[in-house]
Amino acid sequence: MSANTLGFGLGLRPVHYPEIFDGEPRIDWFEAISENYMVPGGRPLHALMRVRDRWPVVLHGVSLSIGSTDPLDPSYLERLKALAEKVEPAWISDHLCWTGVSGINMHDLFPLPYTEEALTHVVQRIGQVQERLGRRILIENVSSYVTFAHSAMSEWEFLAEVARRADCELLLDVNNIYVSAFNHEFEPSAYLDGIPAERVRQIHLAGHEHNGTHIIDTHDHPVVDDVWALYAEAIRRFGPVATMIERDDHIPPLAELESELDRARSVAAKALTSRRVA
Amino acid sequence: MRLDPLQHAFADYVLSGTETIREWVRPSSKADIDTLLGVYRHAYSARLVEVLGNDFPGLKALAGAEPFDSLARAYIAAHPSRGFSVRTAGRSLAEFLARTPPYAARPALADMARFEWAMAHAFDAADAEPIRIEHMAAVPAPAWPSLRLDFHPSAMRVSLRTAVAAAWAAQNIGESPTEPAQDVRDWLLWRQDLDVKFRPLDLDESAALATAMTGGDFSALCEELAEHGPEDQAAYRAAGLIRAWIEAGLIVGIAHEGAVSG
Repeated sequence: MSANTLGFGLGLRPVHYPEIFDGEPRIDWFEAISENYMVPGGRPLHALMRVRDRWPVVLHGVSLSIGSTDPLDPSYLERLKALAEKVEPAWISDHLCWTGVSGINMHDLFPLPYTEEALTHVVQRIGQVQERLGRRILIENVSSYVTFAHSAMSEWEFLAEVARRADCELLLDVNNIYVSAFNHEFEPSAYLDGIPAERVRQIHLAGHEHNGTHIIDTHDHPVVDDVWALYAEAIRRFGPVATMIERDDHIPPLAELESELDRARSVAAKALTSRRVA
Repeated sequence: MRLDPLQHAFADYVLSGTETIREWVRPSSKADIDTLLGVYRHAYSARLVEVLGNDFPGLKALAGAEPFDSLARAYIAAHPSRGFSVRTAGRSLAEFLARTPPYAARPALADMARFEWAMAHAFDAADAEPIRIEHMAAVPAPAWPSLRLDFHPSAMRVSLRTAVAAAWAAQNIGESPTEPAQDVRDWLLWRQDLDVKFRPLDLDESAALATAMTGGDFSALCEELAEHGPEDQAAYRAAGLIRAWIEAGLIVGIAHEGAVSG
């Protein structure tokens, strides 16, 4: 990886704190779930600041709900901004989705219809968020299990247009592309082709659960071979992009994730070599 | 404008199974719509039940895993999460258990939820630097009656009717808790350094804490203590309590006439 990316990181999970603080893990940076640290004080913030002393940290939100028709929550933005001022993350990201409506947070990443109406709505709200935070944010593609009948464009066309109009950056989740490509029967390489390379700042990798008729994005397994292959394709297209692995369930010891991260290093190195040759 | 009705139809389906969302969904050649929509509906309650189980391990141990699952589902249906963090999803759980049959008939359930919610509050309440006992030496004798204490933001008094703290401690070391006996008592929960602490309160200390935590000064504290014990010992008792509170890291500032410090 070149000097302008963070390299290879992991999602910060409290179960790993002892291994992180007492050891010398081969991890270049950590991604912290913003909401878990948007608390007044105590052990969570103390731990995050200890991590921050040794590694670059990025903040990854799950409740911005950028696509909801509810108004943006000003107190949420206020607290996210306060956390960012404390942690000084390399960047802040959240998802291209909505998480609830009528004031209810369903704590899930629900898909949007890919329409001009939704596009205008999301672009306007990213503008508000970026203005409030005083910085550009990264928007991540989510896995989805349904699509909507009145969608007028593909997800990648929608995402690329959001990024262009809102002038935001992208967090590309390669596993989510793979999952949605299977569920909605599109070519994952067509998705990658539609993404503006210069806006891709980070890549997510994760495992999933294959149910035969559909795949569910569970983050409870190692990354599968097909997703590694798609990751290699992404690196060939987008160049050296900061990459990290998410694991949220059946979380193994840190050493196991370090080995998986080594595989990411090796896949990316090979992809970059073939990119230069090509 | 179709985004808003779509989101309401989707949310209604996830929350209560209302099927109007089906009209919005594009059919898939791989799986039927109900299976695919069901992924969202199933994940919604499964996620929140899991979060509540992690946040209320004592309650889960006391209720038993399967009854806890249905208890949590009933609670989620009555009190959907409205905060930006799942951390606050259990905000109304104690209140729900206290007034909803059949749970209300077993007061230890609401008590445990109240106790664990106070622990969660203590865990990540705002930081504040406790004062040291030497600070008190600097308070001039004539200023003592006007002395007021600032408590650590984590400090919380909780009134319980059953001995749930022992049941909580049992599950915390992997033992099955027995049904908590009746034990009407107030408890103090707070954070010292980064650790959550709790201890039972005698009647006079609980009354004194209630006064001091709501801004009562030293003379008010003495008046309160005189209600619970010998009047001529009230000032000694008050001074002794304040010392114990300081040593426990509960006091983060003092103020009195003529000076403010801490």
